[in-house]
Amino acid sequence: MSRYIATRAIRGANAIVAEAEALMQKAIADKGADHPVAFPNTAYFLPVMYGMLGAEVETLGQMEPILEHAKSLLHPLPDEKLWVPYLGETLDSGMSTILAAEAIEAIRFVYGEQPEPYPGLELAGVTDYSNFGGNGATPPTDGHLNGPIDDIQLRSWGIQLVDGRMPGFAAILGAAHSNEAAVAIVRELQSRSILTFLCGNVNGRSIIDQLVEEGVEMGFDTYIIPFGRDTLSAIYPVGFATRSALTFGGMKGGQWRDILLYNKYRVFAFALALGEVDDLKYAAAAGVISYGFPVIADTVIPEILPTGVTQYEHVISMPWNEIEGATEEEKATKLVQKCIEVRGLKIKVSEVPVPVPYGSAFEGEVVRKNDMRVEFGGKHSRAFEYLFMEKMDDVEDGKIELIGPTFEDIEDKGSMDLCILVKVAGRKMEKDFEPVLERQVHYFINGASGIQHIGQRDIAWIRISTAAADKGFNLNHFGDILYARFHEDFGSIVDKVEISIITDPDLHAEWLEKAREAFEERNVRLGSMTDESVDDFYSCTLCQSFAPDHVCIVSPERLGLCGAYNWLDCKASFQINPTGPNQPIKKATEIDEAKGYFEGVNEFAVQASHGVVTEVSMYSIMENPMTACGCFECIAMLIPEANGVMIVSREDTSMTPTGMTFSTLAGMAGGGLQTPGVMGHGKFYILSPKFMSADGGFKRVVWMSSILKEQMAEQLKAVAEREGDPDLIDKIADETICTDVEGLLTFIAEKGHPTLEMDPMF
Amino acid sequence: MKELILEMPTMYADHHVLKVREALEGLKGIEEAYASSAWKKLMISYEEKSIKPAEIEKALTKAGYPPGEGATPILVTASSDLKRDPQWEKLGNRVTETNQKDLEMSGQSRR
Repeated sequence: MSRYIATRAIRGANAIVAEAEALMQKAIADKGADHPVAFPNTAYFLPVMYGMLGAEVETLGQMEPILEHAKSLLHPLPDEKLWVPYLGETLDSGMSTILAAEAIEAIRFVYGEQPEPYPGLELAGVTDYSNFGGNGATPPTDGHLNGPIDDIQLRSWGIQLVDGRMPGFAAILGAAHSNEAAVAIVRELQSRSILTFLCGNVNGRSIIDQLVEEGVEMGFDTYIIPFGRDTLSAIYPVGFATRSALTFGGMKGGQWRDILLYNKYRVFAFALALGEVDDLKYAAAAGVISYGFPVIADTVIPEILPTGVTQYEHVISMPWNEIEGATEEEKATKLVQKCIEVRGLKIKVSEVPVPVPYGSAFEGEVVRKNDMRVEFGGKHSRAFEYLFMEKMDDVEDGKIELIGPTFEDIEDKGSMDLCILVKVAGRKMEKDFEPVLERQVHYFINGASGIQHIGQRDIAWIRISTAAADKGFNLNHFGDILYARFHEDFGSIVDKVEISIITDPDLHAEWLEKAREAFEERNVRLGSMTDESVDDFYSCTLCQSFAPDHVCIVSPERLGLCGAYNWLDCKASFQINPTGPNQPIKKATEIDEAKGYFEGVNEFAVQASHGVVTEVSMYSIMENPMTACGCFECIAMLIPEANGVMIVSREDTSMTPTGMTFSTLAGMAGGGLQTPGVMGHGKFYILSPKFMSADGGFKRVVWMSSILKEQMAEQLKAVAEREGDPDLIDKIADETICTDVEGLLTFIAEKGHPTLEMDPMF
Repeated sequence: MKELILEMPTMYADHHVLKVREALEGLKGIEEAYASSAWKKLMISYEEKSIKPAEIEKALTKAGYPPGEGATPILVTASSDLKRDPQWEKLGNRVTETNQKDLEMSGQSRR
């Protein structure tokens, strides 16, 4: 153990706790001890305080005992002559540092200093502060950095964190050696789909400034999140890690040991300190080491090499000037590789032969009109993609052809028609897998940097940026991407892949007609699939790496609660990986048809949940409802007074009639526990005839987030007609109508909602 | 052009650096500044015709960072007689041992 690191971490901790205490006393004097404190749109109060100490801090005054506790973890500086082991003292200091840093950031929100202003900055995906004003702070109006990641984003990243698309996260503190180095490091992390959090500065210059100067797009969509330009904002990644354990691991506040171990073994994160390291950075590093996250520095600092608290080394020094490499990119590659090695990340890198960087982190990248070379689809042209299976002999593997003109003759920022035709063949390929594979075209193409893909089927909309076109990206590269990815990801069901890129107008029109016929056939086929028409349901235990006791049962009429996996997806996944997370479940004997109890499902649930869940009702919210991990798109919850349920979307941050927001409700619905009356589910499950069918079905819905009403207007209309009440949607309240039970009861009584005349739900 | 190096004992973290630089931004005659929270030093190049060191120090003091004064606060100091860490009296002895949960969880990391 390094005495130097221990000294500086302990000194930094002493100082920051003193600073936090002084700030808290000032805030109490200015605003009063009862003044509320919170991080916007997040559950679990101030998450580190809640996770580590079980403290539900909601006011300035409630911070006092927390800082007293932080003080109790402080130690004197190590003696200069007598050297003893310091690891315990250093880790204590780290914990007191993150408690103090969280207090400071929460107080900064009170003073309107968070999220940190950054005039002119536009982020591609950012925490929504529009509803935030609970502690008297004014929501930011101009450009700003992100501040804490909201629950909506945490949950929507959940599935990517568990299925390996997002192998972990890197918290970068400080500023890189040069702007080129900053871009190279971040691009290297992006190409490995590692979520990148940015904080801190050196001499007032942050990596955030460097990336802004270089025009790198930041935000949720590009996996690069700028938290703040100082080390204090590193509390947000620590809070994110704590909330991951509480959200997906089913842990409760105060289970500090379990939360730290959860992070050590399940959250693959590391810190990268760029530039000089001050006392607070050493202290913060000591804090993250407790979480099992190692720290890698690009400067000369002492190292802590033995393992123990982290799985591998604790602190590593890799001075930038000593890294071998002719260019900044080569050095960045080696630095990132070292980080990955030290944290033991498992990375799957797709080797795709295109002239631009490629990885999942580029999936959400937006190509704005000004940066665009050419677009396909959208307002001015038609783009579609169609994948279908053929006989083995009719598919020439590896053939990629462009039929028609390329975009070279199209004026800058112009548009043209495009068809991406994918023919596949395989011994295990089935007709039902066509839509599953076709949907991947969106993800595969989006993985290329500088390419934007939106929509699917005949409403696809693709843009190629000027930067990508300048690097030589052309239409044939769509084929190269699809060929490589289909073989890599679906190699066990696809033996041959042939791709035609069609821009020829006559052929385009001809294939569009054929494709539309096929889409219609698929719609009919999917619509006719019912739970009764199949012998097997499928399990999804993908999230067990985060929520160890949760198991999703996916049936044709009930998709996974994350919304990402339907029955056909699971079936295809089982073909691809027969020992993977999607296993067929023989329904076996039907115990109760109405409530959806099946012998096979119950047996599987017992075994897969390690005995925690013994019975699962597929169609009831009131009796043994299915558990949830934390990735759910919606929460349905009983409102006893209304004899019905409300459905809250995770995109809805407003208050609900239960007096709780989505974030608070999510704490009750997640973590692999069965709570009668509460259920996490996918948003398209609402449209299913089996939605809560044992409890009265869709007619029980009395309140629904308006965003769901808007997003699924047409489908909900069809559901209302199916239920025999075409005006039903108008009888369902939303947050614009009421956010309390009294208002809800008045509304449904006025509208004559059918649930008022239905049997009691319990 | 003159150079000035100031000790900044209370500038121990990068959020202080932002405040210190902000204080310097309003001053005429400052050509360049390097504020190091790692070394708690401020190095300034300035135009001596436009600004005097005393004015720089005054501005820093006004911003809450008086050069050369104060120190990083140490809330807990060792007991002078025994040179012992008094916190261990409060925290008690802690024993590190391999927990069953470590063993269980280590086998279940990402598939």
